[in-house]
Amino acid sequence: MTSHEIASVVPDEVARFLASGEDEKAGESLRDYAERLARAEPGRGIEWARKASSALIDRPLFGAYLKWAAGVVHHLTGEPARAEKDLAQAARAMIRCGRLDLADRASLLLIDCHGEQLRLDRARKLAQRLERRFVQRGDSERGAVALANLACAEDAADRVDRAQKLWRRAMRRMAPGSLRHLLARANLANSAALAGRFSHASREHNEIADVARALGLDNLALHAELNLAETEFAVGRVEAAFDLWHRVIDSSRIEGDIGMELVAEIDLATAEAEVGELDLAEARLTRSLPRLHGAGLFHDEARALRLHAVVDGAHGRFDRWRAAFDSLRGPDMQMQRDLLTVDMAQLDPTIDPPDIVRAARRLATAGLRHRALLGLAWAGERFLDRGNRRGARRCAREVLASTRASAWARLVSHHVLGRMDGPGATRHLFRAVHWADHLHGRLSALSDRSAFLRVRGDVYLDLMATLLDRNTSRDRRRALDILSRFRSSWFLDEIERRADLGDDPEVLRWQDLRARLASLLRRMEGPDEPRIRRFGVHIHRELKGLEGELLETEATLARRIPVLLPDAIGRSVSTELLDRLPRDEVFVEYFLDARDLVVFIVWRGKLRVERIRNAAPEIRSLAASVRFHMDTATWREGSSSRGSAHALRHRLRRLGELLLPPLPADTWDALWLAPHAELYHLPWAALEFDSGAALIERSVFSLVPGAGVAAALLRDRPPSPHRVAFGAASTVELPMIEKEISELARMVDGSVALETATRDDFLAMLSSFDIVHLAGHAVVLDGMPSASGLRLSDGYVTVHDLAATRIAAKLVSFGVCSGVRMGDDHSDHRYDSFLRSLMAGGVRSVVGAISPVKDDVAYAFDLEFFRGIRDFGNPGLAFRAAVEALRRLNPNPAIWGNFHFYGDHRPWSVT
Amino acid sequence: MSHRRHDWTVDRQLDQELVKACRRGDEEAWVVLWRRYGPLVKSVSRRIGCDSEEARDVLQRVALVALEKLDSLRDPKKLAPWLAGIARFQSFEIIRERRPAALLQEDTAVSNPRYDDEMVRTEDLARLRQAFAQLEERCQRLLQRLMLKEPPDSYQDVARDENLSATSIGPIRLRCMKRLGKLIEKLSRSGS
Amino acid sequence: MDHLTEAHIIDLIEGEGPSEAEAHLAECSQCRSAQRLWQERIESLREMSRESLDDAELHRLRVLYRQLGPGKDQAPRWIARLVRSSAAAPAAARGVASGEIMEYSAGPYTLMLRVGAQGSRSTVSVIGQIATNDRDRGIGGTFALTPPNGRVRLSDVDQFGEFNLPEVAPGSYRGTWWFGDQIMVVHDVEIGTDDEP
Repeated sequence: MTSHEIASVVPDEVARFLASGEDEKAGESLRDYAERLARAEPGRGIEWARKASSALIDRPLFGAYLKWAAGVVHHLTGEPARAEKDLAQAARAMIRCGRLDLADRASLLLIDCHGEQLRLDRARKLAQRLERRFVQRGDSERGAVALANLACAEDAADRVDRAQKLWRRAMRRMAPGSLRHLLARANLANSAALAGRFSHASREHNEIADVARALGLDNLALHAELNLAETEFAVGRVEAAFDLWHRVIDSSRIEGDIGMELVAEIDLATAEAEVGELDLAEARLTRSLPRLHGAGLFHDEARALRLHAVVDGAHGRFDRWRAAFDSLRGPDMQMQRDLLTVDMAQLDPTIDPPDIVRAARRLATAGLRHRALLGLAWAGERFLDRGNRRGARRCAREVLASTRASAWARLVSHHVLGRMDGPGATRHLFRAVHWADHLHGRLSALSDRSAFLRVRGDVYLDLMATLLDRNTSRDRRRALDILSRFRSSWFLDEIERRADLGDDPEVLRWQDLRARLASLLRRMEGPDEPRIRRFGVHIHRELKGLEGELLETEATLARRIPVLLPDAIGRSVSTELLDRLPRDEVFVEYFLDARDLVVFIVWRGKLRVERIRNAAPEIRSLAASVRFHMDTATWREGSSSRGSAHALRHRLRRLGELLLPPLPADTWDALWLAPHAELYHLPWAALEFDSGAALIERSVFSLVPGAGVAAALLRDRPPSPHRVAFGAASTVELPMIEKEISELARMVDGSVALETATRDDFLAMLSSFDIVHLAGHAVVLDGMPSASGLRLSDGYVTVHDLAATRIAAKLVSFGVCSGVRMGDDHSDHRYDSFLRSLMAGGVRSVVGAISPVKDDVAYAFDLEFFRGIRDFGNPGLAFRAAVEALRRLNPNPAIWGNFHFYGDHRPWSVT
Repeated sequence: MSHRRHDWTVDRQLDQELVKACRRGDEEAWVVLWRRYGPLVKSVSRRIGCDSEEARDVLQRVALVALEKLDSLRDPKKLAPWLAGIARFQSFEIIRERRPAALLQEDTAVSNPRYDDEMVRTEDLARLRQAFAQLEERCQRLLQRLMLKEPPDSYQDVARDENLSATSIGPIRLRCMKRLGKLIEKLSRSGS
Repeated sequence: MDHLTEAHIIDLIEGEGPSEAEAHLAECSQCRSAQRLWQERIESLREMSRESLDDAELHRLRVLYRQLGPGKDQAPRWIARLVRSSAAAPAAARGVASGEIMEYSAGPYTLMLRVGAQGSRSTVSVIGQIATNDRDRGIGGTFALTPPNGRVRLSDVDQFGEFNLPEVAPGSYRGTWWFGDQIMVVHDVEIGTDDEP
């Protein structure tokens, strides 16, 4: 190599050493330079390394150092195969120079390279050899490095326990406070995080960052902060995590550390994707990808491409993932391609199962057995989609036979086997349901989570359908239990869990967010009221963001407390219901699956199930039409109103034909009705029997969220309320409110009335009175029900406020439209309406309108209802009387059918 | 609106002429085109795994794409495979959009396709339908009534309506099928 | 016996043909695959025959062509104008549910549209009703929402004048109603998101 060529490869200070013949010093300096270059400008580093690696020089020691330096660069830029070659050559050259010590030092990094390619045996052998030799030389610190590097290799192969042991051993030999010690400590903390010990990991990373900064090791400090961000995120301290990431990004920009900056961007994008901010994640990825490519950070580029493809997939877009797949070229990227295939197999049903299987097999060979098994599970699912039962069975069985399969993989495989006829199919479905319960809210990878949300419902419903097909009385009961678990188990958990929440910072955060939401709603109303009316309210990003944060917090809180399900402790909802339902009362639960209507009927100690095939599409279409008419009723006048009433009656008659026949023909005293999803929003009172009689004429009835809730309500005796409170937030546009409150106060002796109640007043009423009535105004957001608000004189009360209040009231009545309206997202989310948050808080009966209601109509209904309460002592009867009074005033079912009675309709115990 | 199914109408306009007419604004040509190839589109989507609702949706989407892109179809003789290809793509899209609750329903076509073969089968189907449309009218009518209709018409009824003797029906049918076979081969050769 | 002729194979499918032909088939894989080929062809043709289109489908396709095709411009009979919308003028109701209501008038007809809330989805539902005071006029036909580029959404209009378009992406649309030879056009139908513009 000419001096000119040397100059092009070697920086000045190194050249100086060379010139003065100090080859070893030159080499050491060169190696440090290479490391710095690789960190700061990975692209340039790679270019340099190529040149250096192929340089021929007649100074053997320096030549060996060149190779070593190239190896360092390749290792840092994610090319372990190249690094391996360079380092091995360097070591051999060092040996030829008679410098075994240097050869060993160069080989330390080789351990890492073997590990990254999952050649564990080689890594182990090498590490043991090196450690021995270093210790013999008295260099126990480097011996420890050998162990630490081996630990990284073990960790990469999922051998977490071994890795942790090795790190600890290594740390014992290193000087505390030294860089190496800190690095090992950081690795150990990361490992703890992977094992789920997040708080420990957080503390460690925090300390490491402090120590590193004190030692002037800014890069290491940043790294620690990056790790800290991940653990903070994992424990749900989302805002703190985001702050950290932004800090790291800013600092790295200042430092000029592109690598760190981009890695932080990818981590942040991953987190954004996980909290559902897919648009932000997407934007971030789109910005970062070209920079990653330009910087030569292929490994991270691959990560980003994968994430991008999954984010697209979660949006239902699949065109880009194949392009991403193709751009991950080269044998180095095979693992990335395979990981991407497994991710996408969960989202894109058109991927060929044999491709998925091949990817899975390769991942297994590479040591990523966990992911490999997940791929195999999904291959089974796709085989089943295509009718290839043998393939499906083989895959599913292989997954279940392995001890390394995750809960998620097991769920998918049990579900596959459960849908095929054969021995034990039902048992598999039970197992699938078990895993579904277990996993709810616990999956972290975006692809897994998106897929889970889609699959979860199927799992429950398939089991329910199988049980119903078997049609023994025991299986019918179990089917009802499963439905309860799927749709309303949250409710029962909530009642059990409404204990002290304490000083948990997460809870404090939750409370703070709630207060912000309430005041934001208040800010948004303004003199410009019509602005709010469009879609109900203009939802600013802030509102959306707040709602999202609240839900996140609640999910985190839920994750911390193990979910108890009635079945887990052996209680069967249906058995309880069968025991407790009075002999002359009927319970009916309606459920629509994709095609059929399923009806559970409990009557005279027996559970019957009817499945009306292919009725679901028509019912759904009728329900949509009914809702249209109910929601536009207050808007219409004259002939439009008449036309709507006419159409509505037609729909209700038809719905009566479809929904009411399963009810027993004999007379009954009262009806408990549990309609799910779209069926909820029907004016049940106005559904007609064949005879032309409306349901409300037939008997007292009430709606409940499900069989489990009915059973829970029946467990206790009905209350005997004493204290009544009336609250209102009257406005100029709603003049009847004031009148209503004063008349109600006169009607009920000893009641308390507040014509301009504040938020605190209302919440206080709920905590101290047995019966509470609110008349006023509300904003209900179908698309975002947890952000809905009841307007009081000084702001809005939200569902979260209700959730946090200790409620003593037993009956709550809303003289407010949509007080009992439910959101459009037919999930079993506990906070999707005022109704649910009240019932979960212990309110036994809730009365209100589901669609907008005119001022005068609400006035008439409320007065009638409370007259009934006062006179009959029977809320069910009072409701019925009020509805019938309205009907006499106006025969349009959109008006009088608008009111629902929810919960316990039984007469109060007389004291 | 009635749900009377339109018999597979025998119409003689060549595909090229239909395409030209549609480009000109001839609404009836458009209807003839869909009477001819609507069933092909729905068949393709059923084979890929769509149920009957989804197949109807695919038809609508394909019609929209076809209308938008009609001008860019360079060889109007390739109308059938072109439509079939669009149908294939749209069917995959619909499957991806599918709500998970809509799993295999009883009426899903269970032809167990291997997806690698899918491309080939789609082209075959298009070619078959196109060849059929090129048969002379009597052949189309005869084959429709004797072999495709369920249940098929009797030789006597067909003979009477076509003004032929019952004994000649068999040989004529045979000739028609051989002609169909030849048309299919001719299209395969000129095709890919 | 030599390989079967096409004629024999076709006959065999219909269950006719000499018995030697059947015997030959049992031994000859080439002829068997020729037979399978014809069987598949016939089965495919039958399949396609089963999928023939009905009136409703053809009508919808016609509407599509009229909407977007190169046809001569027909002057629409009525152009609808916006009379009321819940964004501008709320009714005196206690409380508000999200979702917008828009009312149009066009000749003897009124059109009411209700747009549902978006929430976390990317689409909204649109339900509408066409009504008239004139008893001599029937109601039916097809309603279409056309975006400037993208997918046209179509729905039948039932006897009550109702139609239903689930999963409409937010945007600006032209609405068109066809019934017989009557046309109503609604320009600038804003299907909004929950966000403030």
